[in-house]
Amino acid sequence: MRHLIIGNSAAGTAAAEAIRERDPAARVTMLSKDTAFFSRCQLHLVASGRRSSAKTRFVPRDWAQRHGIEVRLGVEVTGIDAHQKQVLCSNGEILPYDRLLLSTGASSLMPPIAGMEGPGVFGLRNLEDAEGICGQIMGCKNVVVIGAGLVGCELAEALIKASHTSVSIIEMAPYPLPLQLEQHTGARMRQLMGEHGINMICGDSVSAIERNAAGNPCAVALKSGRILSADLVVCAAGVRPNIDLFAPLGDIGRRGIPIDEGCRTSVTDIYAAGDVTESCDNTLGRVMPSAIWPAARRQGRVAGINMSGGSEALTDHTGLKTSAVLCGIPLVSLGPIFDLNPAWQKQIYEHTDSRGRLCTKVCYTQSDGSLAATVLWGDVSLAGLYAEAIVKKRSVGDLSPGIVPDYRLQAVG
Amino acid sequence: MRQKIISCDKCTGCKNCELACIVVHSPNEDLKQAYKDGGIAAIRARCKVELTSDGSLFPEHCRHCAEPQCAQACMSGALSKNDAGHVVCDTETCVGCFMCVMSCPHGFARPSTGDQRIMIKCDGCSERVCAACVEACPTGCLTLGEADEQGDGVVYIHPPKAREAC
Amino acid sequence: MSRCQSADTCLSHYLETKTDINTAFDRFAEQRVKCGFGQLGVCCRLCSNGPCRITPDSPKGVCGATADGIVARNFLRMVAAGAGCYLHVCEATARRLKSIGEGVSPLPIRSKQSLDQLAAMFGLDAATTEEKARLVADQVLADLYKPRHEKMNLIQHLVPQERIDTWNTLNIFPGGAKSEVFDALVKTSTNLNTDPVDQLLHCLNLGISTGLYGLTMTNLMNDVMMGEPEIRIAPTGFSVADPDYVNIAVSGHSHSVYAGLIDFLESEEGQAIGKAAGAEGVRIVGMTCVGQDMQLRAGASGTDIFAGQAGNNFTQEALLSTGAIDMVISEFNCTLSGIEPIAEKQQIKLVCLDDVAKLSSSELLADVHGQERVLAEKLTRMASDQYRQRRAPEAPKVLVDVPRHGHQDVVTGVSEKSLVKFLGGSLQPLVDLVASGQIKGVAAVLGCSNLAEGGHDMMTAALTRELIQRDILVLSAGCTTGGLANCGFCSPGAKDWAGPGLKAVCEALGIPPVLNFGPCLSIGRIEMVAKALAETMNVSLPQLPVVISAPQWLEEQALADGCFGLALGLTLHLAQAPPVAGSPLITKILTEDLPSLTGGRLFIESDPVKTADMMEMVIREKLQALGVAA
Repeated sequence: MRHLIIGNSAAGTAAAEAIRERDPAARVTMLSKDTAFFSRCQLHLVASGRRSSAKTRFVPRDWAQRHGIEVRLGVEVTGIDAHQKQVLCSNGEILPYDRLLLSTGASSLMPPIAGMEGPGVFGLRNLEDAEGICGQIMGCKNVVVIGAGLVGCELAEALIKASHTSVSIIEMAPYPLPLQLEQHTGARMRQLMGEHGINMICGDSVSAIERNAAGNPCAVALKSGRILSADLVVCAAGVRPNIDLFAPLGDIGRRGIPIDEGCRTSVTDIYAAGDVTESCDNTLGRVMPSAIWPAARRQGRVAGINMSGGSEALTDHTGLKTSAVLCGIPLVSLGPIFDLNPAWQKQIYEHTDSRGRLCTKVCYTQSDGSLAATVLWGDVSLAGLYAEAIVKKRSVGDLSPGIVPDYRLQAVG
Repeated sequence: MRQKIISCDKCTGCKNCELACIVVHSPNEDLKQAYKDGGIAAIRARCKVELTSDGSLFPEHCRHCAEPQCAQACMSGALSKNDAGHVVCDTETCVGCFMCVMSCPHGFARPSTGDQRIMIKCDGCSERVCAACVEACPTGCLTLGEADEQGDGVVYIHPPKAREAC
Repeated sequence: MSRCQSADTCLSHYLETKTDINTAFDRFAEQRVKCGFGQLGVCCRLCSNGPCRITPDSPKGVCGATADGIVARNFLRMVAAGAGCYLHVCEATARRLKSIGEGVSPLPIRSKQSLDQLAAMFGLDAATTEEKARLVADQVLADLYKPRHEKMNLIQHLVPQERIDTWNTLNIFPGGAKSEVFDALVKTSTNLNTDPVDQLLHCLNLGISTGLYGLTMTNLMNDVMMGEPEIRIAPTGFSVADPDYVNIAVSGHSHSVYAGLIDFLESEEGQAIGKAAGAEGVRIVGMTCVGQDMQLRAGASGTDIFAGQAGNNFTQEALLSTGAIDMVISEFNCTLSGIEPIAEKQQIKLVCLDDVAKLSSSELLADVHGQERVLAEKLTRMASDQYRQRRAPEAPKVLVDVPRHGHQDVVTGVSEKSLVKFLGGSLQPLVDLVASGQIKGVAAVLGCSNLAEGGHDMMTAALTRELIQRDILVLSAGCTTGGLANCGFCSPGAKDWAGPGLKAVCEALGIPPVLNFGPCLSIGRIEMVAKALAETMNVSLPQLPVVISAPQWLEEQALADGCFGLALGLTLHLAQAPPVAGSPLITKILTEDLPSLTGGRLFIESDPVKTADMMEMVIREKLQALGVAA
């Protein structure tokens, strides 16, 4: 059996490992246009110069040998022939497959704004983006980040921490992390990031990037009319899935390649996993992308098992989980905080523990008592329990600190 | 693989297991040194005695799951299962993203309380003959036994009953 | 459910808004898991072979001590420490009275009548008031300082002969109180006394000196110096702290330590210092028990400068977070170390007048007898300076947020004397009410507050509500009162929570169903009421139809108090067992054998309804035994 995996990030590696676990004889080839294994979640650290590119490698040095995977980096796949079951590579090579996995990920979405094209404007999706920012940052006075989502916020904080430059973030929503935070935590996060030296501009958006005679960015014009000096712009305004290879072959959904519970696409023997896909999110019961590392790993594993003849389903699957440490305080957001049902009951619980940490817990519960969404900030130790309760639609029991939520006992007994 | 067997009804809440865990994870395995200079704050016990809502004591220990979700969620490659069957964290590689924390269904991947931004978890005392917590348990609540190959690393006996959700 | 709750819902709500401070209510949750060995009392830390813990597999310590031996030893150590605490307060009070008598301390004697009564009770006479004060103080101090083999002299004047006979039979009549504490420590050290019964009897011995000297004698001497309690209406709760004033919060148990300060603040000169700082004046806010003492005697001392009692032991962190307090003076216990970070944040000056209560961040000032006025002026200036720095109208540095909290119409100032006066000269009307069945009996709900029994004051309030519903009049002293007053139980309106019989009595007399005796020291007053009731009814103390509950006892002092009640032969309820449950022998003696020893009885029950059932039953049985009631 010959397995071909396109992409070498979370989903691709998880699939390769799963295939090898089940089938010692299978031939597994991994192709990627990237030239190295790197963890996308660490790009802000590379961009700010706090971590070398090499250190973001998330698999051991001997990963390929240990698992017996033929890894071919720097090779771009340009086409798939689903009838002949083979792929065409940029170097002219043609590789046959029995099972194909598309784990091609997503790319930065660059909105159609005047001045977006050209030098000095980056996305933050690949090692090249991060290295590009890192290479230019030293001479910069003013950085503008478009979008206060997780990528934008983490980057802004990393840049401030490395005290490179002044950093502004432009966000359309009234507070940062609008997908992860509700009003209470959002307002405080906005204040906190401001206190950490980040110029947080909310409720505004970029209308144009202005460039100087040399063609480099010099300012950013906002909808409100404000003009911000900027010699480097990072666009962190979302992603689009890399579906181009699959588009001519099968069904494409609104926001990715649709996959079933077994990570199969609409084309026989072609599987997909990770950021390129959309699948049923068990928290919301709706088809949507699941753009987080753990979900991509899980999808990759499920795909790998099914590709090698097993039978595994994507159960309790959700991408509505975020974990981050911003301004030194850990934060976990769980469930559809951006799409709250007005019928849910909201409870905010806040206290200062004896280590002096302000611990905030926001819980949304459904009428049957089951947990729908949660924000944990300060103390995230029990985040996994809340996440489990949300996806399994259980009640969280007693929320007092120091008390075991009851369903946790069910997991044991 | 040896399993940790936890007989919940024998727990008396003395927290000796937590203390023993702190000791083996402190420099020089020295309890007094660990408490000196406030260094204790940085060494969070990897196990914890909790109280259920009906007042029963419940010793919480990492299950070393057959399919560890913490390791699955790890984006830095720090978490992996070692040859002894224990899920361990390479603190040099960990960047403290805490995706493991939000992914462990038992709540036993936790942020370190020290200055270093990393996760901490039970390492199963892989290098010791007997896990420190088991050695320190005065009531026989924690013991070791032989396990089948497939299961988790921890077995609970007489766990407190879950209350009906209300 | 969130953090630990309080029966005082206003306080709970206030704490919900103060998420930036860490209080005992937060820490209680973090400390929920308790060590079973500690709870049972079967952990011995006395020697280097230990700590030894008793389990079925290891039933004896390395030295051979059994669970009974270890429990008894630990318990006696706790009672000795508790006794030592109250005796320290008594000693300090007697020393101050002596200094006044000797003319060293130029402080007023506010109640000559009390002094005359006290001297007469002890059979002392002297030409001058000062001489009388000196003689009384000398007698008290002499008793405290006696060696163990010399019995304390004044006890004979404080309890009925029947008790003295019982105590002599059991060989628990105490020698010099401090020596008894000293030898309790000797007894409980490594490889000394191994007799659990002897150790338990020693506990009762310590209970007697705790109650009669630590409580009663302290009260009587403070009445002389600070004036007698008078029944009056006063405000309680955080609202007593008026941010327009320089507010000095007081914490501890020794009222007379503040004699100089109260005297000075009552003067124009004292108030002028506060006014110069931009405030309306300077006031004292009661934070823990010593505030209750001030509230109790505010009819006679500090009437205009004592703002009122804010709450009890576990409300102090919240009180300081209001920002209205400028300085805290402590001279004894119940000052939580948890206030230190809050004081730092709110820029509150912490001062300590006795090193036994020294907080790590408080400034210790010497309380030199004869220099009381100098100290008072210094304290007033410190507090006023602090006010100026932190609350100056032009540039306030702290947020002042005093919630509407507490009650304006709390009936206070109830004492063994003011109650008799109120009832027209004797306790007979009270006896008649019980005999006629109008009220079912009298119960004392007293002692500390803790967070362990369902939350702050939860058991206290629930039990009190049950008792008054059953037409049982409640007397209260200690932090229980602070909590009950803030929950409205000590206001006349609480009559509506009482049963029909008790409600009618409350309406007729204009009293609440819970009588507020003030501080925990007033447990001594309640026991004097019991003694007077026994005399009125012509019965012995164990026969008296009265039950005592310390529903939320907290500390070692409470255990020493409890031993006093048991030595007196009273029935005592605790919601939480002291750490003795690991010893079958000690448990049996305390809960089963005690009636045949002192006549006292201990029962443990954590459910408020069952507790009230039990208390009602005990009262009824005793009344039936006396042939009084149905």
